[in-house]
This record gives sequence, C-alpha cells and structure tokens, in this order.
Amino acid sequence: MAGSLASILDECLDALNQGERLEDCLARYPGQVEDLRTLLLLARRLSLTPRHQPRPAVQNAGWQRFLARAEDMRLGGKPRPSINIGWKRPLAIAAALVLVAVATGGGTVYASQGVLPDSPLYRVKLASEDVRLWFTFDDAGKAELLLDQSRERTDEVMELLYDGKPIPGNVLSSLRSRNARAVRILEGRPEESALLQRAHEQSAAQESLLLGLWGDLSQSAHDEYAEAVATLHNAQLRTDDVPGAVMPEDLAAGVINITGSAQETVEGVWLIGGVEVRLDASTLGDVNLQTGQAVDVVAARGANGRLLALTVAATDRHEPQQQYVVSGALEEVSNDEVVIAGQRIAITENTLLKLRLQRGQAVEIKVEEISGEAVAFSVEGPKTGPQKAAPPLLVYEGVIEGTVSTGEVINEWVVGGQRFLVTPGTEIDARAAALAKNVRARVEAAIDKDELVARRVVVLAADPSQDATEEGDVGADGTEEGGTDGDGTEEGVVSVEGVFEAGDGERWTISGVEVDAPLDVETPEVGSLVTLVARRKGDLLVTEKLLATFRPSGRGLAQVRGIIGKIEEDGTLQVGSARVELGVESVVKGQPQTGSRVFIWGSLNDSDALQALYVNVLDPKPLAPESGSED
Amino acid sequence: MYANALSGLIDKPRDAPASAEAESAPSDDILREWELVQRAQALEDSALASLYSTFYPRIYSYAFLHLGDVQTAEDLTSEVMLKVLESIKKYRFKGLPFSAWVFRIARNKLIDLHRRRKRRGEIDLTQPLATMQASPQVMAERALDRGQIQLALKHLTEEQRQVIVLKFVEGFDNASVARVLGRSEGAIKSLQHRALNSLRRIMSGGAR
Repeated sequence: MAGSLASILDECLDALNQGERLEDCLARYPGQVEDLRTLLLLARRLSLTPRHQPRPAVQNAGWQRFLARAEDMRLGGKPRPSINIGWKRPLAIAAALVLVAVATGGGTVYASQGVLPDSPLYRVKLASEDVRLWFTFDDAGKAELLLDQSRERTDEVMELLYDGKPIPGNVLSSLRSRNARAVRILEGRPEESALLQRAHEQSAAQESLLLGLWGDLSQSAHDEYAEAVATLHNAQLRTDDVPGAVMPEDLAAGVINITGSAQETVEGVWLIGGVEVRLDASTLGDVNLQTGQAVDVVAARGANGRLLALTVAATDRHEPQQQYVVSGALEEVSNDEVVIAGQRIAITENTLLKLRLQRGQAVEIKVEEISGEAVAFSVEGPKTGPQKAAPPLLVYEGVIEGTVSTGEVINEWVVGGQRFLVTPGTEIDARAAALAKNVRARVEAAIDKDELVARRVVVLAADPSQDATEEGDVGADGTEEGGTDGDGTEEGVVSVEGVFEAGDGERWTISGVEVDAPLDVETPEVGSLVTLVARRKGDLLVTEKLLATFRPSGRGLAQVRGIIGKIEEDGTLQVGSARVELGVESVVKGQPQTGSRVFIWGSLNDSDALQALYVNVLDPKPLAPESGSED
Repeated sequence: MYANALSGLIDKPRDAPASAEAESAPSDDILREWELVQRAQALEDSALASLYSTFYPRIYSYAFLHLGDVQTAEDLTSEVMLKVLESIKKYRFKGLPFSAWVFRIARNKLIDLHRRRKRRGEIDLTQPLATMQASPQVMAERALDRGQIQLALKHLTEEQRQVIVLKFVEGFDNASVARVLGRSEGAIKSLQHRALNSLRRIMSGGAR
C-alpha cells in the first residue's frame, strides 16, 4: 500500500491506466480525496491536450537531410554534425569521389574517409576534401563546406583524445586553414548572417576545446597549436567586426587559467589574483573590469612570459555552485551517462572525453549544472600507465616559497619545501587572496614521470582562527622551531592529504611523498586516506600530528570539490548536484558554510551515497553569498 | 471514462503505429519496435521512414513545450533526428522502449542548447516569465489549451517540466522517464507529485 501522497498518486495513475474508475481509487484514500482528485484530473487534462504539430514543409525538408545523411552513411562516410548544404552535397560528393578515384584509385579514397590524423591515409582524406571544394562553385556553399571540414577536424581531435593518442600538428593546421578560409569568404558579407554566426560560434567552441589540450599535444605540434588558437580567436573578432588580433607568438608558451580578484595597475594591465595580465582589443568576454571584481581569465603566454587575456568571464557570484569536480572510479558507464561516486552525470556530444570510458576506470569529471542537470564538461583519466590505475592525488598545503613565476611553459614552484611543476594544465585559483611569496597555498598534484605535477593551486585566505592558540588544525601544535608567517601559521608546517601507498613503522609513502611515520600509530592499510600535519626538516617531512586515517569501502576513494551550494538540516552538503552525507566518523576541518569552497574525500556507502570521510572547508568566510534555492 | 482517456497514453507512445496500438502486451510492442530498429540499423529506407514519421512530431512537440519557439524547436528536432540516425547502430535493446533512448538524445540536445545560450549570455527561454493569470475555472474536465500548458510549464523547474511532458504528454511510464532523465523511479514519483502540485497552483492563479 502506498504511503506518501506521491506514492498514492502514482499508484492511482497506474490503476486508472489499468481501467479502474477514479472514484474507486479515491475511495481507498478517504483522507486524501480532495488533493488526489485535483491532481488526477489535472493529469488527465494534460494527457488530453493535443500535441503541437510541426510544419509539414519543415518536416519534409528535414526528411531530405535525414535521407542524405543516411546515404552518406551507406557510402561509408563518417556522420558529420549539422551539415546543411542541401542539394549541392550529392553533386559534391560524387564529383569528389569520381575525381580522386581516377587519380588515386577508388579504394584508397574510400578507405581514407574514416581515418584519423595519425594514419598515412589522412593526406588522401584531406585531398578528397579539397576536391569537394573545387566542385563547390558559390562562395556561401564553399564557406559552409570549409566550416564543415574544420568541424570534422574537431571530431578527429576528440576521437584521438578518446583513444588516448597525442594530437599531431597536421589536424590543427588543417582545422586552422579551413576556418581561416571560411572567415575570409564571409567577411564583409552581412547578407550571410547565419553563416557568420555559425563561423563565430564554431570558432568559439573550437577555441574552447583547444584551450584545454596543451597537455595532450604531441611535442612537435606546439607551433601549429599557437597558430590554430590565434586563428580561431581572431575568427571570433573578425566575424564581430572587432579590429584586434592575437598573434601566434602571444601563445608561444601556451595558456594559463587564473581565477582571482582584478586590480588595475596601469591602463590595460591588470593583476588577476596577483598575476599580471594584459587586456587589449583582442580580449573577449567581460572586458570592462572593475577593481575588486572576481573573474576567470584564460591568458595566452608569450615566449617572453607576458600574459595576454584571451577571454575574461566575471564570476557570477549568485550562481556559485554551477561547476564542480568529481573524481573516483566509474561505477556505471553507458553512451550518454556515467555514475561516479554515486552521482549520475550526463555525457553529451560536447563532453570532452579524454579516454575510453570503462567501468572501474579512475577519472576526474568536471561537471556543469545546466538547467538543473549534472552534465560532464570533460572527463579525464591517467595519462600514462595502465588505463585503470590513476596516480593517487596528493593534496599539500604550505607556504609559497621563493618567487612565483608564470612566465615559462613549465615553472617550478616550491610550496612548504616541496617542489611542484606548474604547467599550462595547472589551474590557479586566487579568489581568496593574491598569489605571492609567503602566502599559504593548497596544491593538488599527482606524480607524472617521477615529478609532482600541480593540477591546481588554490591560494588560501588568511584565517584568523588558525593562530598558535587555536586547537586542531594546521599550526596548532606549537612546536619550538620557526616563527609564523603572515597568516599566523607556522613556517615549515604543512598539511598533507593523500593515499597511503606503502610504509612501515618509520616511513610512509603518501601519494608519492615520503613522510616520517608518526609515533605509536598503527600502519594504515594500503589504499587508506591519510591526513596529517608535518614539518619539513631538510629533505624530510616529519609528522607532527596524524589527523586521521580512513579505510575506504571496497569501491575506493572519491573526491568532490566545488562550492557548497546548500547545507541540509541533517548536515548533508550539496556541492553542485553532488550530495555528500556526513556521518559520525566524518572529520570536518573548518566550518562548512554555504558559498565556501570545499574539498571532500569520501567513499560510497551501502546505499550508494557518497559518505564524507574528510571534509576540508577552504574558506573561513563564504566567497559568495547564499543563493536562493527553489522548490 | 477517465481510465479510457489515460489508457494507452501512459505506457504507450501516442503516435505508435496502428499495430502497436492493438491489444497486445507492451513487451510485444517493444519487441516489434526493436525489430523495426534493427532494420533501421541496417539503414533500410522503409524503416528509416517509419522512425522519422513516428518520432519527428513527438520530438518537435517535446522541444516546443520546452522552448516555446517554433524555429528553435524545428532546428532542435532536426538535430535530434540526425543524431538518432548517426547513433542508431550503437543502440542496444535493454528492455526499455526505443523511444526512451530517442528522448534521452533529445534531452541531451536540449541541455547543449541551454549551454550554448548560457555561454552567449542569452536569456534562458525556460525561465519563468510573467505570472500567469488563469481563471480558477480551468480545473474543469476538458483538455488544456496548448497555450495554457505552454505558459504554465514555464513556471516549473526544468526537471518538473521534463516529467510532465514525458509522462503526461508523451505517455511514458516511470521506468522510461527515469531512463530519459537519468533518475531513479522513486525520484520520478516524487517529481511527478511536486510537478502536478506546482502546476495546479500555477493554473489556479497562484504562480510562485
């Protein structure tokens, strides 16, 4: 028997559908008659409402495109997204096939259609595309075909990533040249507004894809990468009649992603989270910055180390929880969604998949909240080694030592005595304070080819509660060595969170970093989460205080990081769509507040919910005001 | 009477071919559908025509109810149909109707559209507009006007709107709605309750 009104309603809908009378159903629930009657009648009226009918002419035109696509597929061609060249396509395809078949032998051309840029047949594929262009005689058709071909390059890049292959220069070069030719044709032709808009949007999407790919390029592709990003960026400016331009030299040392507060220095030059960035006519997005405004900046890094903002996005302070990250092993995998850490996340064709999805695979998913749905923006996995094994994440908090440079492709930063490599793939989050020497930072890193490569550096705000008299957290144990830094935290004291990999009574290896084992503590089980406070003495990290060790469930550890969107009455934290339950054994560092950034280590419990093991609240004060919740 | 009105709408798509409307067990319908899909996977013209004529109007109606704009709904429907064609070889029968798979694609396309609009800073058409002023008498036992439902749906959350459209307009069962939305059946039940409640409030002039 149904209990709640929701269950009763559902049961009655089912019963009515099976032929039961409305009154019979209501009679079973005398206490709910009025509510139930209204809702059931409304359901009925909804089901009686006639459908909106499509316009027959449009439906028929769509059928022609549908048929043409089916014909392409029968010919063995790879499906292309949203191509709309109407009647011209069959002619172009036929011409291309005939001409190249004569020149090279039909079998080779046919075989080349589905190949990727790492194949020797790829040049044949590009040549056959060129032939199609020769047989397209009107400019608009040619521009559209060039845009199609440029977008085909995007699909090839996605496929290479999916196969775990590096991106070679040839695909970037072809993507760039086809885009540039299309834009050249369309410039100054306002009558082609639909194509101009498509060129603009496609260039933006392609630039956005490439900006996240520096780490996936083959070594020889860096020049083509710089040229391709510059061309795509300029295509957006040119299709909007904006005179600025980015030069490939501006991108010689890749890109950098910084989030922080904006401060103007001299005209056109701003400090973003303490990092100097130039804005000019070629910068896209929210370019009218205000001092103190929080922004996300993607900047091009020139050979001289100077940063030029490519895009600026003001952080919407009213929607703080729209993006978050979930890491762990994939619980379920299908074509259009995955389940990770108990969270169901949609995979769409725009999701940047950097690996083949398999059950059990360790991945990191950047999740966007779109219309209330959790949608994967990107899915990444380990770059090297066996596909299912990911190097464990090391989280390390300490004081930034030495000069912080962002000028080179690869920069070395020392945080709490530990050396980290900062690459174009490293995100810098300087929302809470500016990036500078002697400030405290949190580095999320993983071992790659024997080096600790920072994935993310988060500058931490000074926390007045973390002085030497406070109990509990970093710097709380008041040892005799060292003074304190500007934040009231002792120099040389670091906080480590990571996975116990090996060790004995003397030394522990935690996510690739060795520490002197704490005294009188049982050695944890391999795979356990360990959080501790240590002090650096020369090359050694000496544990001062073991905060906690956790043995995760058989399904391993998962991480969620983002901004707390909501705290339920029972303490459950909502980070984006991710719900994280707190139990009696959960250890919480800091005070969870709506609007604060949080990093959570958790494990799936028996009811497939993510149970927090260790919660680290990074902000003593919320970064953003509480957002309203609906429903 | 009520039962007759709902019968055939909850478990079976409205536009199912005549043969599927016959008094056969739903599993037979699904199996017949699967047979059609297999022929479409082999790119047989007649099967493709049948899928197109079945799903184009349904996806259009779904898109229009979510977007409220004819051209955008037409574009989205075309995109969905092409995506269905391109992906149909990947479809594997898992006991649920093929239509749940098709609507899952439609939902993902809708998400992509919202994402593009968000990136461009456009207004999300699914956000509530002005408060709907409807007369309380609309609770009579007659079909809703399409304009009324369109306007009322704008006041619901995205998930509530999805549940209303998929379950009551498209006639899916809970399992299929759960499949399309990537939620559990339990979640669909409670969303369905909340959605109908919100709709009732809105239609009696008490929009949020």
